[in-house]
Amino acid sequence: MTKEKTDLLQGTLDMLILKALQLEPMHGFGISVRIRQISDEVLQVEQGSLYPALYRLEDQGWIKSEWGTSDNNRKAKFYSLTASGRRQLESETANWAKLSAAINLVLKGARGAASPKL
Amino acid sequence: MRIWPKLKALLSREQLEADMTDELRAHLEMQEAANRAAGMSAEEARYAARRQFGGVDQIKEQARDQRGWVWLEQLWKDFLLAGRTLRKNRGFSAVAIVTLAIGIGATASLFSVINGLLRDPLPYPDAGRLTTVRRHDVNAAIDYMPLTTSDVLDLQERAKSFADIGAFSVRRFNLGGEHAEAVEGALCTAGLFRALGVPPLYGRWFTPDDEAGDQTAAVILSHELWKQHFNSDPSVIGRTVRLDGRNHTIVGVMPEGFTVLSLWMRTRSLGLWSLLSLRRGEGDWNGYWLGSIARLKPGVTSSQASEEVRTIARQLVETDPNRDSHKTFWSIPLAIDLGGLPALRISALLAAGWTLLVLAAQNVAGMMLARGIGRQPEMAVRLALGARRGHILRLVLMESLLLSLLASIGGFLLTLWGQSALTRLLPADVMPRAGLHIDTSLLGSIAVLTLISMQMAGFTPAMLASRTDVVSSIKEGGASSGPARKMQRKLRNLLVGQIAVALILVAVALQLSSTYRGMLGSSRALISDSILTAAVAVKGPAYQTDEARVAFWKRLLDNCATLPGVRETAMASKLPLDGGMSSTVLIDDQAFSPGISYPWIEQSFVSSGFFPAIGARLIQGCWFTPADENRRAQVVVINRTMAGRYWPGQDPIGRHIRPAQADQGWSREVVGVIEDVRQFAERPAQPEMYFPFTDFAVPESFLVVRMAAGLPAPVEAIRQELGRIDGDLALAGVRTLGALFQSQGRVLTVVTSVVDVLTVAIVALAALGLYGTLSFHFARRRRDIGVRLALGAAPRDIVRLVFKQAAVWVIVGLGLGAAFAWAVSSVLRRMLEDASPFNVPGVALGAGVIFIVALLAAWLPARRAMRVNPVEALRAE
Repeated sequence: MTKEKTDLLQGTLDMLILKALQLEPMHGFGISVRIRQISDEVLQVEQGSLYPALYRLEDQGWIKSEWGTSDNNRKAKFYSLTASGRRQLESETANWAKLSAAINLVLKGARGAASPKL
Repeated sequence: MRIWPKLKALLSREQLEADMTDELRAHLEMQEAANRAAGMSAEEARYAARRQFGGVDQIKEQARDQRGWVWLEQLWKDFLLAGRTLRKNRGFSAVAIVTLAIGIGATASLFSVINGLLRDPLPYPDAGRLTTVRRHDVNAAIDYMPLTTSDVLDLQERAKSFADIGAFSVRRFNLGGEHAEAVEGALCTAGLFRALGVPPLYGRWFTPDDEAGDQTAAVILSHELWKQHFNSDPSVIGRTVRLDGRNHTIVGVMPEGFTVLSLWMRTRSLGLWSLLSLRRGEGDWNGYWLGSIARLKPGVTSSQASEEVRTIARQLVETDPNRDSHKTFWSIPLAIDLGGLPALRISALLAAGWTLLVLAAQNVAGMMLARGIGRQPEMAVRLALGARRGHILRLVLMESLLLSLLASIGGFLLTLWGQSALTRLLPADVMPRAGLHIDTSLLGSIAVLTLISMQMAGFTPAMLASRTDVVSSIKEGGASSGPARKMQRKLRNLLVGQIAVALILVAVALQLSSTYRGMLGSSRALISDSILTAAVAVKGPAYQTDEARVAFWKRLLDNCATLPGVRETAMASKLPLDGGMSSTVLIDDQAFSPGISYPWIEQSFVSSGFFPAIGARLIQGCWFTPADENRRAQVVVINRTMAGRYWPGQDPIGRHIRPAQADQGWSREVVGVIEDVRQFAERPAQPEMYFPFTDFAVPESFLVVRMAAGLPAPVEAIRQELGRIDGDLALAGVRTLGALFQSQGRVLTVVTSVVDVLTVAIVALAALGLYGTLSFHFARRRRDIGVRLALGAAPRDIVRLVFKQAAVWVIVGLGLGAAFAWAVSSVLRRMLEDASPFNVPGVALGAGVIFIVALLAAWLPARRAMRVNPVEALRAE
């Protein structure tokens, strides 16, 4: 049961993490589960990327962390969005929308232009 | 990038590490729980979690990189590692640090003297706007020429750059009283005080009215003279004081610490200032006799002023081409004028210090390079284990940084010691008046020197290490692979270069030191403690004519000659090593041409007893005699240098000398040639003419008394004789020629001895560096030697092999060095007037020492290698 993995674009992981944290504070494991679920099991975040990304985001001040207790009473570190993190998420979402729309246009156009030759 | 989290990360590293471990463990446990919930067994769930998670330590490492100042942490680790490496190689580190520290200390302490001289604060308000105007004549013996009376008047009339310009001339005055006393003071114009801008404590400055007034004799007293002679009485203003037998009115008293500073009076202060009224055509017999100080108008820069005075000189020459056709004016800030020449006088020391530093850095570089080659296998292993090349570069640079850091601390301490040593050693006239201290510019210079030495010592080895070729270095043990061979070549070139540079430095140092020694030696020839000298200023209403002054001197000389113990008495217009009076002449039937610039010839006016009194040897012809003086025979005696310059290979006796001027002046016949008597302590003998004092009895002259050996000079008796002849005249500056030499030759003596010490240090450093690099190189050939021994080579063969290689390098290096040294020496001879010739035996000796050191450096490690069991040597690699 191997799922097809999609390589994440540089920077998109940061956006996905911010998005996962938009609703509620979450710990690292929760974030990886959440991303997998939302993406319908397509996007699998490697722990090797997740934790460096979390530290990076914290370093930049977009998320903050504190120790708390998980659902099953385990001690875990919970990450939550800061105000600047929210702004970052908004701008990245807007950028992403623009970028993906543009890429879609390019891909469609390319197909249309190529068809007469076929 | 926010600073605070990074700082926190740096400071609470352990806390963060623990947090990270906890967090990752929690993640694993959650994964495990999730797996169990999905139906796995406990053990299966744990392994699956591990598998899914990946390498915990890799993740940690990647996570760490995202946080805090990782590079700073790594730098700290590199620093500790570099410290450990240096500690492990104690001998190497100690030699490198001490070597660099000496270079830095010597250079920095000498720099602090020169910097102090050029930045000496002047005791005047807004002193930065004070400049001085000097003249420059092509061929002048003195670069810092004073001005003539008309120069000053021309400048006063034409120059627009100056708010005020004043002129002065330092003099000896006879201050009248119960006993006349000699006081050093200056004649100065009213403009001088306005330019300096220091208000008087009592009374006033000189005014233009004083200057214009007919026979006004006004004087301003220094605070010290006022205290000593007038009991600090404020009511002295308006009182009369007798100077040189004439009444002067005291118009002012200056505040404590005030003096008029000039190049030759940087550290002495004057007692009084007497008004000088300059009139065209009057008093120009003194020629170039006036110093000047001017205050720039607001908004005018020093270079604008200099440009203006140059233009003025050009205009003057154009309007009157017959006069002074080669003069030009230049103006420089007073502070630079006062500090520049003393700084120049000791600049040889700074040059020697620099040489020492460069050599030290080169030594350390050689040693580090040799060590770097030795460390190639180590670097290769580091690279193979995943170290980045940048990291290796950083590590090696960190070592040299640490070395230079320690060296700069040592250098700083040495600088402190050097400053106090120099303060004791160097005479006051080449020291900053404000003394030496630690300031930001000194610390800055130490930092710069450290950086330079680090750059020189560390960079090549670092590049070398970072370029290590992993595979071949590990495989071949670094000895014979291609890239390693390239580095060997580099080391060989470095060694050859080091040998060459060592020889060049030895040659230059020897040449400098023998040059200075020669100067010292030729000055010392006349130095004697049984020759007493004293200044007498024969001035006043009674001495307006040459005849009056000549009569005075004849009486004084005759009276003193009868005193017990006196062998010879004489009068001279100047003393040996105390020169600076010169004129231009024509010889034989040479015709005057205004377009030609004639060289300046030193001149003295002396009584016939002068030559025997100072013990100068007659080379040719005869002295002039008292009879010549009486009938005013038109004769002159010249020195050997002048005879050689004007009548090379010819007999100068009977030839003639005339002044270099348009109208026919006097003419004198050369009757004798005497050996050179130096006019300046730090310059070779100049051409000189000695005229009978009956030609011109210079008012401020010197009494010279030769005593019978071992007898003290009867100074009191001489003073009484003088008082009997004229109670208004005083004896000043009484000292022996030996003492005169002590003070005038002090700088030269110190420079010579310091250069000697530095020469020894340079040679020692060169030998040390050579030994360090060479011995390291041959120590690395242990394996090679082991193989040869194992294959049956006899120790004799090994010795021959090692010597052959070392000898080839040394001979190539020495050959190159000798060629360059010879070239440098001829450049030096062109720069330094009386530089000694290329010192062949000295350089040969230096080359011999270098050769022996080099062979020793090759042989000692080779012998050690031969002693070990070949098997062990092979295994050791």
